[in-house]
Amino acid sequence: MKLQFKFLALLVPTGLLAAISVLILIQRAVHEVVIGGQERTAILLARAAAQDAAAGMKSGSEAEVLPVLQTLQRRKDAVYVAALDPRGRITAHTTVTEKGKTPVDEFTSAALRAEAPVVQPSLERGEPVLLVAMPIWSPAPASTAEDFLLSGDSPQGPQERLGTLKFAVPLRGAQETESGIIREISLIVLIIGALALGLVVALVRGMLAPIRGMMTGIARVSAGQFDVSVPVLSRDELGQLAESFNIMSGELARTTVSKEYVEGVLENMYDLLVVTDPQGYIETANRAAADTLGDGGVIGRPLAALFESPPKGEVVHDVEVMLHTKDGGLTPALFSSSVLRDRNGRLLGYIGVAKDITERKRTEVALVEAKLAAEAASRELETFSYSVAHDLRAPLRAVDGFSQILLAEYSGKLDAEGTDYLKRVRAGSQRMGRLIDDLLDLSRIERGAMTLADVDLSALAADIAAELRKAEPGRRVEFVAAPDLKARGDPDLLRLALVNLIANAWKYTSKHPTARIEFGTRTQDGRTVYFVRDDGAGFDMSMAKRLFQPFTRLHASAEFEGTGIGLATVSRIVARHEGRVWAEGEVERGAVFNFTLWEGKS
Amino acid sequence: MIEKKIILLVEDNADDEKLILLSLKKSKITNDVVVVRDGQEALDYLLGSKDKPETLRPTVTLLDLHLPKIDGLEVLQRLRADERTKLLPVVVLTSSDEESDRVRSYSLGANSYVCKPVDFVDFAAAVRELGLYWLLLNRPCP
Repeated sequence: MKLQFKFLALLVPTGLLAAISVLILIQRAVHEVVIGGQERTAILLARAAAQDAAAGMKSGSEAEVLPVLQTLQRRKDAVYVAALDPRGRITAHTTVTEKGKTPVDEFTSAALRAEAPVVQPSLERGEPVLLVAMPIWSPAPASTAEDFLLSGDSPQGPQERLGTLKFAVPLRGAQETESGIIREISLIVLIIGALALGLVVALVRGMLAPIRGMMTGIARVSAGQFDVSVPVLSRDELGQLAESFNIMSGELARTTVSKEYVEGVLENMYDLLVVTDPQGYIETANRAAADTLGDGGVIGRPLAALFESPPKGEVVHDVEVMLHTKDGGLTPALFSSSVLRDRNGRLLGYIGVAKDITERKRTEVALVEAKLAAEAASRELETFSYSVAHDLRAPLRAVDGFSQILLAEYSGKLDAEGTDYLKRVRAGSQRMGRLIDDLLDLSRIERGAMTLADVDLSALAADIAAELRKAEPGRRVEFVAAPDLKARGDPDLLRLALVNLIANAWKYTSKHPTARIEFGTRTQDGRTVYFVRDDGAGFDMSMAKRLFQPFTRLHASAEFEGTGIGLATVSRIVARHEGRVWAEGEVERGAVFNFTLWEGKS
Repeated sequence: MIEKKIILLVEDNADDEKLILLSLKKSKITNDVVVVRDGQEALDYLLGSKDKPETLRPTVTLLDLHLPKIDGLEVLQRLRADERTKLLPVVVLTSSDEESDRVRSYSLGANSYVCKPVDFVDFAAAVRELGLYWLLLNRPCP
């Protein structure tokens, strides 16, 4: 039963009961006032009349009694007034024909016996009347006015019963007045009751409105739509409840993915998704699955039927499979599956997700082709390098060799100028030879496989310095290498890098009478930074970046020999060891070449 | 004393040939130098052919790798495959300093591998060293 009706079922009978009680009480009060008033005046008048008639009754004079009766009849507008003797015979009556009769009704016999006035409502010829009987006593002997006043209206001492005054007062007027008043009061009560009922209904409805709003909200939350808020209509408990509800739904919306959301995600995801029952028959398929898979629909078919050959196992991860497509073809896919269980571990079914990898397969093929092409290009480059080595060196050797022979054996036939030219020819060919060698070194760094080993850099640096010293024993160079510097890397490449750096330092300090070259490490940002520092010619810092580009030279060949490939070689070697190289320098104040190794690894 | 010892030079580049011969001459190595200019000629000389019987074995063969007709490495391979020349001293003398060439040469049984320096002074020195070593110092397999 609705709460609203419960409220009404409680309130309406209570209200009715109250109204009825009020009506009964009012009716009683009105009756008391109207009818009771009639009775009281009738008794007062009757008592007075009984005294007035006492003398007449005692003497038995009808003529004396009748005027008293007539006065009473007039004053009370009575239907009739009668005087009865103690035996009940009518001695006087306002209706003359009644005289001498002896009425034998119950009221009359009770009135004859009673010593006090008797009042009783009755019907007189179909009209409601009030029957009143009053005993008539003989007047008190030797009574004075004072005595009468003191004694009141009660008989003093033994008095003789002279008869009974009986009369009927019409009640219709009084009754009509009574019912009129009651009708009006009832009407008022009815109106008040109706208003109260309406008020109650409105109040109950108003009270229940927020509850109804909340019910709608709860229904929506149950349906999986969490972001619902209900209006807060009041500041009372219901208002607080609504606020709590809003907080709860807000929290739910924030922390829980709604059913709608989940369905939206599944429906719109690019990957194919199917869910089966415990027997492996497909129950649900998202749009992608329904659109691509299975000729003749997906729902209700066994999962295994989707595959050209189904993968083994309930739980698989990213297995390459071939799926039957709607158009009767096959498509390559990555398939994963898992088991769906409820909270109690009961098997609900299986979830299968497949990713169409047609595009990826195509890319893979393209990649393989590209790789093959790259390898072919690399082989071509190798062949090219090879021919550069062989085919360029041979003619150079001829130029160098024969100019050397000319210088040695035909110098007598050449003047000084001719000899100078020949020397220039030789120098040029030798420089070109070095250039070719350096270029080949550079290309070899990129191509060759790296063999990693623990390399003793300190020992390597000392070796290189010793070689340089041997080649130019006249130089006064102090070489300092920090002890026990070890690094993991390709020994040949690391050697080549150090050779280039230390030889550079050696070369660019050659214009100074004394020099100091230092090989060491320092820690920067938690990394080991290796450096080769010299106090030689240095360079302008604005050129620092260009130093590592091939064929870039900051000094003329006449000043410092070089091909401009050495630092590019260093840069590539360091890059192959996942490191960085950078230089700092100042003109005529020396240079520092820094490098790191394996920056990717901690 | 060294008259009977001859050198076989397999070299297609006329300049290199001339420089080698000059270098040997300057080093007072007066042994006969037989020059062949491609791989086929080299094999013909060492293993004989239909028209020509095999000739005198050289004390050392200086073999270039880049050769017309038959490549130097193939020449080496065929010499090592033949009983008669299996143990013949063969020095690879080439412009190439490629690692792959070195590896393949030694794998095929080269006795030595020398890269021709571009600088003629170094080159002449290298040729002289080679001549002295293989003709005087080295004791070949009997």
